[in-house]
Formats: sequence, C-alpha cells, structure tokens
Amino acid sequence: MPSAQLIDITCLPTYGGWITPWSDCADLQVLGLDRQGQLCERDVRIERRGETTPSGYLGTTSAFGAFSEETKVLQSNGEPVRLGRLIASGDVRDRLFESIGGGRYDTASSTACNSLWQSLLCAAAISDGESIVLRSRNGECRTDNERRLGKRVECGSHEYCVLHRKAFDSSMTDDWKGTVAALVHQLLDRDETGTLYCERAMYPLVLWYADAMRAEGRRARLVFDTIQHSAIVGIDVTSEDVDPVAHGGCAFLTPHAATRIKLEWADPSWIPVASGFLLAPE
Amino acid sequence: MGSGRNMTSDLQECGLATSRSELDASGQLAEKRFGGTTLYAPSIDELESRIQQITSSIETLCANHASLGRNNLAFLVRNHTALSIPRRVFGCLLGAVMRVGSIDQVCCVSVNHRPFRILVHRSRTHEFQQHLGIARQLLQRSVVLYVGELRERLFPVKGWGTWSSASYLLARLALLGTAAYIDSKNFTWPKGLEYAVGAAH
Repeated sequence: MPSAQLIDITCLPTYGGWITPWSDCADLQVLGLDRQGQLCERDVRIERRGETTPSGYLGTTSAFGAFSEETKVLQSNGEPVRLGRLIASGDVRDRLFESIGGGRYDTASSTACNSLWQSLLCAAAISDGESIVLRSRNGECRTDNERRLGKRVECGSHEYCVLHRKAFDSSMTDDWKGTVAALVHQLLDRDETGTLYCERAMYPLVLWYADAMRAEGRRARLVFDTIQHSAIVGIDVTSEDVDPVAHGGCAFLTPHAATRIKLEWADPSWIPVASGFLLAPE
Repeated sequence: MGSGRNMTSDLQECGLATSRSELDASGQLAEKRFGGTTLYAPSIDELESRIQQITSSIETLCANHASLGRNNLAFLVRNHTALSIPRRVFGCLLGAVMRVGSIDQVCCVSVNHRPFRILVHRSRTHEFQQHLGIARQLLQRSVVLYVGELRERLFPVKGWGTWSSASYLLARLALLGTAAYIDSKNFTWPKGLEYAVGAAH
C-alpha cells in the first residue's frame, strides 16, 4: 500500500474541515487528488509509530504545515522532495509547489472540531480540558459569533476569551466560518502592516481562516518571518488572486518533538493532501 | 562565559559580506546563499571556514545559556570569535542555525506591550518548558513575583545572562496571559484567572 510519513500535528483536509492525526484511526476519509486531478475523498489508515521526531515546517504563500524530515511532498513539476532535503539544501525558494486548498464544506465535523480545539490548547493561559481561557488580543466583541462563542472576562489588566467545549462545538457546527473569524479576531495579533499573525503552533486556525476567506470569494496570502525560519504564521486577506503554484516560502526544522505518523491508502492513483501540499508516497 | 571586555579595537573583519561591493576584491568571489541572502567572501576556503566558525560559535554560546536575546548572542559571538560581524551577516548565519533546528525562537511581550523574540537552544528546550512551569507556580502562589526571586530559584549560580533568562520566562507567560507586568522587574498573577475557566459554564 502507498504510504507517507507525517507527524501528529500535520493537518489533513476532509469534507468536514482540517484534522490532525491525534490517534490511530483505520476508517478516516481525507481529501486528495485522483488521476483526473479532481479533489475527492479516500479511506486512509493512520498509525502512530510510537517514536518521536523533530517537527519541521514547510510553507508557501498558499500553504503551511508541520511535517517530519522524512515527509516527501510533490513539487509542481511532479518531482518528489523530502522536507529534510529542502532544509539541508536551503533552496526551498527555488522550488515550486502547487497548493490544494481545503474542500468546500458547510459543516465542521466533530473530528475536525476536536483537532482545532487541541491546537488552541497550546495558546491557553489556563485550561481545565472543558474550557480554554485565551488572552484576548482585541477589545470588544464585534459580531454575534464572538458574543456567542465564549465569555469575556477581565483578570487584572488583561482581557480573556473563555471558550467552553460544548459551545465551541455547537458554534463550529452551526457556522464554522463565523466561528473561525471570531476566533481570529480575538486571538491573532496584528503587526504594523496590518497582517494578522499567530505563533506557528496555532497554524491550523490559519488554515481554517484561509478556507473561510476562500468560501467568501476572497483569498489569503500566508507570510513568514524569513525563508530560513519562522516563529509565526501570518495571513493577509486580499481580493486579488493568489497563485496556487508558488515558490517555497520557508522550510525549517525545530527542536520540538512530535510523534511519527504513518498514513496509508489503497488507491495508488490517488494523491493525499496534507496542509495544502501534495504528498509523494514512499 | 562572562560578559567579556569591550574588544571593539581588537576585532578582525569577518571577511563575509552580503553584497559584492562590500568586498574590495577585483577577482572572482565565492558565494553561498542562505534563504534570501547571499554571503560573499574572497575565496571558497575563507567562505566555508568563516561560516563554520561563526555558526559553531552561535550554537555553542546559545547552548551555554537558558535563553538569550539576539543582540546579546551577537555580542557574545563577537567576543568569542574576535570578529566584527555585520548585522545582516549575523542574521543570515543565525537563520542557518535555526533552519536546521538547533535553535528556536520563542515569542514574548515587553512591559510596553511590544512583542519580541528570544532564542533557546535545542538542548535547553525541555529545561525552558520546565522553568515556565515553575515560574507559573511561583507566580500563582506569590501573586507578585520579582524577577530576582525567580532567578534565585532557577539559577542559583547567578551567571551572566541569568537575570535576563528569568525575565524572559515571565515575559513569555505575559504573552500567554498567565502573568501581567507591574513594572519591568515585577510581575503579578492576573487576579481571578484561576476562576476564569468557570466563567464559561
């Protein structure tokens, strides 16, 4: 069976949103391209390998994701390349990658909601598992979604957004686009150029936001600190077209360990997508 | 590693440049690209040896400290190598060390609410997370935490840079919202934060 090496914080697109492979799963459907180049779902098997590996990142203006050094992605010319090779050579910006955005979905699945919830935990000031308290970057709640999503509390000189799991799941199920926009408004910082950004551990939220913008007919351009490294992922929303075929924007390794994941699928003519990149099988 | 004396007058030019015009050379130059920047040197041997010397120094010195600001690391590398290293050259080579995962950046926030980054070597990553946990516990227990008190607890030897390392931990917690600045040396646990999880129910 064709397979690919990933890590447990790699984002996989589904018709219910982005998921991260937190647990072994034999009956998962993720999106990929068939032999006609059409986006479609296929069954995949996810196996956690037990050992850890440093987490690496690869980004273009249209895609960003966490991978292992051994992960092979397809360049736009059809040639596979391992992330480790890109990092060692330092020539990622000479390579072209075609990014595949997430599917058009009306409702976020419970698995996808769980994955997004897990990624928000990394930015929590405090959490008890059922609630996450996150430092709010922006003052008032502007939208009904923001008001519905969670309570705002003041503790000392800081303001916080308090998310409760049930309300979060309900809000994502009812209106994932509005919910994601509300989270972005509350949780992302804005730099002097107006670019929204967050620490890279919260990158799944950026992928969700890019999908939400796409659903509204807008486009999102991703930005990073430098080609050699980025502590953040930034997003600029624009009405102009963003070329899905783009040069590599960053490729780097970090000291942070992640669990190795093996992704397997049965159809050799199908190519899975991960964080917007096409995966090359082992 | 101590702070070192001011060695400006003893520094040798590093021989690396980010543009051809910076090197007064009439012949062919050796070059190597790092991300969006190309480094030039008069010969391939000089290029490789200087890159190796500076990146090795960056890694070694960063590993010697729990965490460092970029300017402090540049200062240490300059003293360690006795080389005058232009800012762009240093940034390029620091980026190369970060690219392969030897050093990572951690986001923090200053007393003036400005974001800034610190550097943590891969060998100190686990320790950094442990120290964050200790700082958070001390803060929650004490309500007000003085940087010196945290430094005393985590770095009893009080070497050069340990005050900064202690303050960076609290600056990291301030970014996450688990600490708030009173002033540049004192932090407080946000009042009532521990009860905030109940506010959503």
